[in-house]
Order: sequence, then structure tokens, then C-alpha cells
Amino acid sequence: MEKTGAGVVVLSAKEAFEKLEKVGEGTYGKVYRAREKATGKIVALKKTRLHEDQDGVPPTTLREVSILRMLSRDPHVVSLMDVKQGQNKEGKTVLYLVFEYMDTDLKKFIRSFDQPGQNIPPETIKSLMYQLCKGIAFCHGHGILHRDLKPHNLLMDRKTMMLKIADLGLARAFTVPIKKYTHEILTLWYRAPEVLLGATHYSMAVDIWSVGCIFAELVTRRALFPGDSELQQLLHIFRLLGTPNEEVWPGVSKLKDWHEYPQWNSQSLSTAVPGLEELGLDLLSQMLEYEPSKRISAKKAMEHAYFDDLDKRNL
Amino acid sequence: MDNLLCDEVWLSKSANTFEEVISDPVALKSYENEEFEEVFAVCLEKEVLCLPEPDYTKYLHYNNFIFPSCRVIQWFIKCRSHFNLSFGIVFLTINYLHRFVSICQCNDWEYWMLELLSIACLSIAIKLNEISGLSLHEIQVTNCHYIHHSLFI
Repeated sequence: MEKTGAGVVVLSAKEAFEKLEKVGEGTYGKVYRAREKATGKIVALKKTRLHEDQDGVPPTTLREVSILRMLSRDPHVVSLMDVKQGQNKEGKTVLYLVFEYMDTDLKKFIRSFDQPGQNIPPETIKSLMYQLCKGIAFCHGHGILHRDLKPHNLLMDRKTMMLKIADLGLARAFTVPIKKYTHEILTLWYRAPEVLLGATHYSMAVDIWSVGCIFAELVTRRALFPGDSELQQLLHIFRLLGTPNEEVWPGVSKLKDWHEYPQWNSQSLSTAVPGLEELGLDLLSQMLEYEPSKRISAKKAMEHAYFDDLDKRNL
Repeated sequence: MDNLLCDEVWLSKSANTFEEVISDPVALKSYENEEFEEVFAVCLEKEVLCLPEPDYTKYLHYNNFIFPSCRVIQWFIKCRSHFNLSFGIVFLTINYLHRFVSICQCNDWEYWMLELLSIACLSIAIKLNEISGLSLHEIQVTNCHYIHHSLFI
């Protein structure tokens, strides 16, 4: 927020920006494309209604602002430029988060390859995956879990093919020992099995699971585990990776929401993700390890041989 | 930073494992030592950003802030036990309060202003760091001379 001082004019959101169009809905409130009047720069305005008679700024917005101020210097995390207060048509107070504008997201990008047999080029997949691992490694290196990674939250510039992590409203800092977190987070399709089974102590590995699901989706253009309930989500996972037991995942049967499940043997990942090269399948299998402590870290993923032939100079 | 402390297996295991690792520092590989040092530098950098302005203690004395601050801290501690909050919340709340006062250094503080600020700081600390929130009204019932309307906080 701009500090008031001699000669500094603090403009309200309405005075500073011209709204051009609504472009979506974030975790809270609407997102608009807008032009900053002083500079002509195109930005994204994320709007949050504040209910004065209630409890002020929502926790998700506070966390997002706090975390983005720390993370915005990484090129793979969306940049928060300013926070402005304004009023809507009914005179109610609204808060605007001012972001750099990105013209698309990964969900739209994947859907744009909609003809049969039309796939995203392998080198594009590799570049996007490397950027995603790099951005997540930066978040984790600063003690931040995202907790809601999905294609819709990964913004892209179509021209440069740059990818940026966005929507950190559910993100939070972790400390050691890891505290209990709320259970009801994460879009189902990208949710890690330990969360689905009721673990309340979890870590960076939940984000890596989401990254793995996104990786597979980039290759096949369909969600890897499209469950429509928590049980169905688990069954989707177990059908492909095999029903876990104490041998492959020590401690799994003691998780709060563990039950008896149909017993499936694991299938080869290549059946679910045809067309991905051997090294890619190896990296994907390490991202989809059942046991969270054995799942690959984002930093180690960046070092995986799958990325060896990628030109990383501009990433 | 390129290095990532969360590679360490102890993050996913018991505290005892952590103690074992620390008790034998020679066992750490050299790159792990480097990672620890980098992480420590990042934490120090963050801490500097979270301090009040210089000469803040003089300001506190000059404006008779010490005693009211202590009363407020006692209230935070009372809230902590009443709502079963973590101790970290008390620390953060005090930090937020003094950072704000440090930045705003005006010279006509009255106790009700400090009380209002305390409620706001406690609310923010809870929102950022606790699993479930508390309404502004709940926060105040433990010890306020009169209830501040949520609108003013």
C-alpha cells in the first residue's frame, strides 16, 4: 500500500484503474482485466468484498498478500504489485489486489488442444513442467505450501510460454514441527492420498502429488484422477497405482479415514499416460509415490534426467 | 534460493531423528551444511524486515508506553489460554503491535487506541496462523472495558 506523504497522491482503486472486462473468479471474489490510468499498463484486479460488520479482511486474502509479498521476486510466482481499497456501487468497501496480467491459464491452454490427435508438443510440456517445479521449489524453499495447485491456478503468457503460480489464498507457511492443518482443502482431482485419508500432518509432498497429476494431464489432456467424491477419488488412484498396504506405505492403515477397499494391483503408468517418454514416466512415478516422505522434492525433480535436454537459459 | 531444506528426511519423520542428526554434525554432508547456512541467512533476512524502527525503545519510554504494553501482553496471554491458541500467536501479536506503533509514531496515544490496536493485531495473527478463526466479538469478551464495534476495528 502506498504511504501518504508530502506530494504523494493516493488514488482510490476507481481513480487509478479503468476496468476493461471480468476475466474470472478467484478463491474469493471476481478478477478483472484493467488498465492503470497513469501508466497504461494492463493489470489483473482481484476483488474482495469486505463486510465491515463482520470480521474484516478474510484469512485467505491476508495469507495471500503476506505470502505473495515474500514470494513475488521469483519469476514463476505471479507478481503482486499493489493492494488498494475502494468502494463498489453500493458504497461497500472492497479490497483490490493488483497483479501483473497473464493472458491465459494452463486449464485454458490444455483445452485449446481440442482436436483428436492434437497433443501439446513434448518440448512445451517439458518447459512448462520445469517452470512449475522451479516455482514450487522456490515456494517450498521459503517455507510455503501452496495446497491448491491445479491447471486453473497456473497462469501463462501464451507468447513467451512463461508459467506462473497463482492463487495462493490457501497457501500457508509451515514450521517445524509441522502443525495440524485444516482438512478441507485442495480441489479433489489433484488431492494427495494422505489428505484424502484424513492425515492432518502433511507437508510439501501434497504439492508434489498435485504437480504429478498436472504433468499427466499435460500429456493426455485429461485429468489423471477425475473423482467426484473423496471415496471415488481414492478409488481412481488405487485402480491405477494399486491399493496401498503397510508394505508399500507404512502407516497407511492407521490414517483416520482408512477403510477396507477393493484390492487392486498396480498398473503401469504408461497405460494411463501413453506417449510420455521413459524418463518422463520415471519422474511421474516419483511424484506419485504413495509414501509422502519418499515422494520426490521439487528441487530434486528439477535435477531429474527428464529435463537434461531442456534449454534452461531463459527459464 | 536454489537449495531446498525440505529435502531432509527428518522433516517427514520424528523429532528424535532430528535430534540424532544434530547430535552428530560431522555426519552431515558438506552440501547439507551449505543448505543450512543459506536457510539461516534467509531467516535472518526475514527477521530484519519484521523488526520495529530504530530507537523504538526510546520512543516507548518517552510516551509512557511500557506499562500499557505490559497490560496488553497480559491480556494476550489470557486470550491464549482461554481460546487454546498456540504460544506463537502471542509472540506474533506482540510483534505486529510494536511494528505498527513503531511505524506510526504519533505522540498522543491513549489507552483505548492501544486496546483497539491490540484487538486488530490479535485478530490478524489468528487469521494468518490458526486453523479456525475467532470473530472480533469473541476476542473482546475476555477483557475489554467496552465492546468496540467491528466496523471500527
